[in-house]
Amino acid sequence: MSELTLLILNGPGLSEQLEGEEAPAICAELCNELGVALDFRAPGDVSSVCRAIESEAENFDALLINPFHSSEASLSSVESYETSLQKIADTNIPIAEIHMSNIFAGDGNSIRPIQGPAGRMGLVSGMGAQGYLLAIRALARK
Amino acid sequence: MGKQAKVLVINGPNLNLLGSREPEIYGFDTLDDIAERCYKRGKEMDLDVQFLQSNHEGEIIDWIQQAIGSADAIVINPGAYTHTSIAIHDALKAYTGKIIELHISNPHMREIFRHTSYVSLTADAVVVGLGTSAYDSVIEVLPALLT
Repeated sequence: MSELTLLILNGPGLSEQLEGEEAPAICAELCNELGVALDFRAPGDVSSVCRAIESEAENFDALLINPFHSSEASLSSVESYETSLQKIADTNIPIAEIHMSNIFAGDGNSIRPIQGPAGRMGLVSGMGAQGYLLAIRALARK
Repeated sequence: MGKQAKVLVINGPNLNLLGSREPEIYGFDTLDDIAERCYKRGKEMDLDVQFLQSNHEGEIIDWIQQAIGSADAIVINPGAYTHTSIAIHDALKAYTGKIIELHISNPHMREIFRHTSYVSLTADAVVVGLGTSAYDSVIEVLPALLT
């Protein structure tokens, strides 16, 4: 049985957070334990993440996206990600959106969850870096 | 040696139909399958897990109130009450432990009437659209969230 392959893409702001600094290491550690082949990337800007979604996600079994840290949140970024996900709609891979902070706290931020392929789009919000681990565990079980 | 952390897993209306209801959205696991896995994960993570389901809003509120001062965390899948119940929202506001809102499907990808969650306004964390394995995965990361 071959290993599950996972692509994790991070948009702007990850490295500026203390928790963001530990994310690559704890993801690698968990993936090692679960037998998941991990490709963790933090290009740090929306267009690089969009390009990776469009051209590389299809080569993986699952995709995790941290679209932006809350200080960099914007509706136009959400829309860019949606456009890119639309282009890979028929790849059939499960996708999860991770926000380390709580985007539903009702503090008036202008963003909304990314609309991805129906039935295959998950979201984790407000668990800090543990959100990555939860999503990895859930995707590895599918 | 400290005592085990106590986790209440509360499931709302119609979740007792899991496995037979709309499996294309919710999968084929029954609620009993999920409960069994939650107890198993709880043992693995040294957590005292209690798994409950009710179709009645007031009963869910009673459980939340009873959890005040006794449970360290509530993992709640409120079903459709998520989108309607200010009363459950208010009970969760009174609860002082960790609150994790969980949904098997992704309500934000479904009918517009599912896009509002009163519960999300009270929750520390929200997990949606990862299927029933989200229950297992939430319990597995819970000890790290409770430290």
